[in-house]
Amino acid sequence: MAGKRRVGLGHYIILIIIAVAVVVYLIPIYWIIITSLKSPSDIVTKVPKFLFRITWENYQKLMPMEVPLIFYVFLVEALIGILLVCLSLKKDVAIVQMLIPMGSILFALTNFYAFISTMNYNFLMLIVYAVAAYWLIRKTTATMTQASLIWGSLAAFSLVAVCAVLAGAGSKYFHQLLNSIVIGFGSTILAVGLGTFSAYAFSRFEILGKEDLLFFILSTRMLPPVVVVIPVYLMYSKLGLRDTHLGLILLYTTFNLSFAVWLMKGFIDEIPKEYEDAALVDGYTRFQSFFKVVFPQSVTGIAATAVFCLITAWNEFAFALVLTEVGGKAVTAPPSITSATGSGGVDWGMIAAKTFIFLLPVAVFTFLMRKHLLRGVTFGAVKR
Amino acid sequence: MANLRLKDIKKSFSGQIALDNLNLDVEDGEFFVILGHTGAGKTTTLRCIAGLEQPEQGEIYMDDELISDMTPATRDVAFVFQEHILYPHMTVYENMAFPLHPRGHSDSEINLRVVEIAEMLHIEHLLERQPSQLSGGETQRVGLGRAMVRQPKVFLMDEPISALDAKLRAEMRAEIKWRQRQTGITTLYVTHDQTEAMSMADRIAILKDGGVMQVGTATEVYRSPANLFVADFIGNPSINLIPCEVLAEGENIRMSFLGHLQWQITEAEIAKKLATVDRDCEVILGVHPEDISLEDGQGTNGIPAEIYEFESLGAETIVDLSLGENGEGETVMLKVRTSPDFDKAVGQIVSINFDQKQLLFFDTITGEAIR
Repeated sequence: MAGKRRVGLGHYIILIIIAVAVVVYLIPIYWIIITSLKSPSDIVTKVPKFLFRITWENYQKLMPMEVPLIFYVFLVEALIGILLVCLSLKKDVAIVQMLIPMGSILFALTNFYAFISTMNYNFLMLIVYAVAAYWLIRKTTATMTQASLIWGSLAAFSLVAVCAVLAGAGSKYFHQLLNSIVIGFGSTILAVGLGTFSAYAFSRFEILGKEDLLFFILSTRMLPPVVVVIPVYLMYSKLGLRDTHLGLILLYTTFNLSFAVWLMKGFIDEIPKEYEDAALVDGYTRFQSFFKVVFPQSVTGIAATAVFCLITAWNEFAFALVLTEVGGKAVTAPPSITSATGSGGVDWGMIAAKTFIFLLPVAVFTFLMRKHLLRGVTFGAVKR
Repeated sequence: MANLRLKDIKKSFSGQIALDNLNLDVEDGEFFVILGHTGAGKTTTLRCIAGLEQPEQGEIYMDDELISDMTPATRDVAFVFQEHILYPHMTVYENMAFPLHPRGHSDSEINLRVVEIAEMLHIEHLLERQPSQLSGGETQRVGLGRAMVRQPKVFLMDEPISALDAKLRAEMRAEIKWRQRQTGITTLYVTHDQTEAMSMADRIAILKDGGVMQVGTATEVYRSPANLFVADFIGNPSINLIPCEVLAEGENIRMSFLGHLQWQITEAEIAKKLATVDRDCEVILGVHPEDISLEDGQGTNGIPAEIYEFESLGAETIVDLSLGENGEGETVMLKVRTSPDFDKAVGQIVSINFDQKQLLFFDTITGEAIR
């Protein structure tokens, strides 16, 4: 980039426009945060209060009566993880790499403890922790990207564990948040996984009636989902899928699958076929060449698709409300937030607190994926 | 190492015929070049052999074993693609080690082999790099190395050096040829460049519209092409093809160009060749540029021609001669390759003589050579 960039008046005007836009977009979030920190009397004043006494009572209401000790262990672990991610994002921090074996052992131990102590969701914990621990212990040396990925996942898993501990100790909201995590990420993994495979098939093989099938898959998005809420309700009642995690996971997967197939097809089309041909000739099977060649190169696409799928599943309200019982075992966070309107009026403080906690995971996830997201949405725009 | 036999291969892509009853026999240890224009079915042939395309009909044998129904993985061939396929998410070392993993080699074996090949290709200093950090020539070398780490039965190369600049191409040509001779692995090499084909091949197969036109050594396809297509394709500058009439007076055979330029066939062998042709009919005369000699003024059996233009190339001079206009008013041109001390001027009239032993004749209608 040689040459000096001219900074003209237009540049400043654009900056001002962007600044205004940022403020406009951030005001609701700012308002949610300060509302969640206000006492009920401060919230309902006629003139909005910008100066007030910060109170944590809204958040305390969401916590269980007694917070178990393991909660703090996980919280500290999560904080360590976040700190190390920040460190590893700065290049040449050898300490991050040196800490990996130690972290793996620490991680494995807490896994074990979590498995024994939190009886709720231990199936999830077990799988996630087992995979992560296996991977960590195998990886003694890693690049910076891998290191930040390792610690990032450690932090993420620890935060999930925090939720699980709080839910186990009797917190209703964290139980629901955990449902959202399980259902949101579960359906995202399913939709993106299935979508990637079928996109690969559509992209690479001669399939009878390919165009028609693709159109059929797209056509499932042409109907507003709410239209089918009653048939789905009846169907789920008969099948016993109402108020189950599986039911909602399947439903959100269905919503997202067509989107995932189309998006992933675009990405896989961009990867030259010769890459796999070379692998096939070298003696790899079709599956191996997919996982070793196509998969690593479509990570960007997968990340972009995953973000969109997760946001859809995470924010979904109508089906989550209809298909779950009030206070049932599979209620997700969005219906739970609205349920704060009770006989004693609307508890705005609690709604704000719940909303803020609800915002965090997806905001962080999207933030982490932002590079992929940007590349993802512009990828394939230029045809060769 | 293996021989390879393709029998009646047929392949079409959505109705478009790519290979039409293709038959090929490749000997063990041979450097076999498939030459043809774009769309002649060269790449399709290689892809069929590798198992990346399934022919609709026909059989492929390797070492007299039918491999048509085998998966690409079990055929034990190595494919060098036109655009050298290096995986962007792996380092050069990982790229080169990639073909060895499914063969059950140990890590130390793989390391040994990769380093050995890297040293051979002078790329050992690149092993830790990412493919995006390589130059064109380096990418090419790594791509070749990637194919060479294995000891396959057959190498399939699809225009592996066509993307390089001329100098590097000449270098790589010699290098590939030398390595093939060292390893003795049967190699099928696809190209559209006839110079490349002639300089590298033990034998050349010329493909047109999915069918084999001729198979032979470089000399064979140059000196006795099977038909007009082959004759026109091979050689640079390309062969002179001139329609002419055969006039017979008993045993005496005279040829005539453009109705008025006549000359006598003195070579008995050529006369015998032409004896099979109907009298007073048109044939196409093929004569390579170096088989024409120039003389000042009117020679005895010479044909007068005007010097139209010439190019001095240093080691030789290419002269364009004008023979006059044909019936349709087009100027009939002749290319002659002479020594660099050519000293005649444009517009001068010279007389040309053919080296009659090297003359080729083709049927006007079928394009087949008259032998």
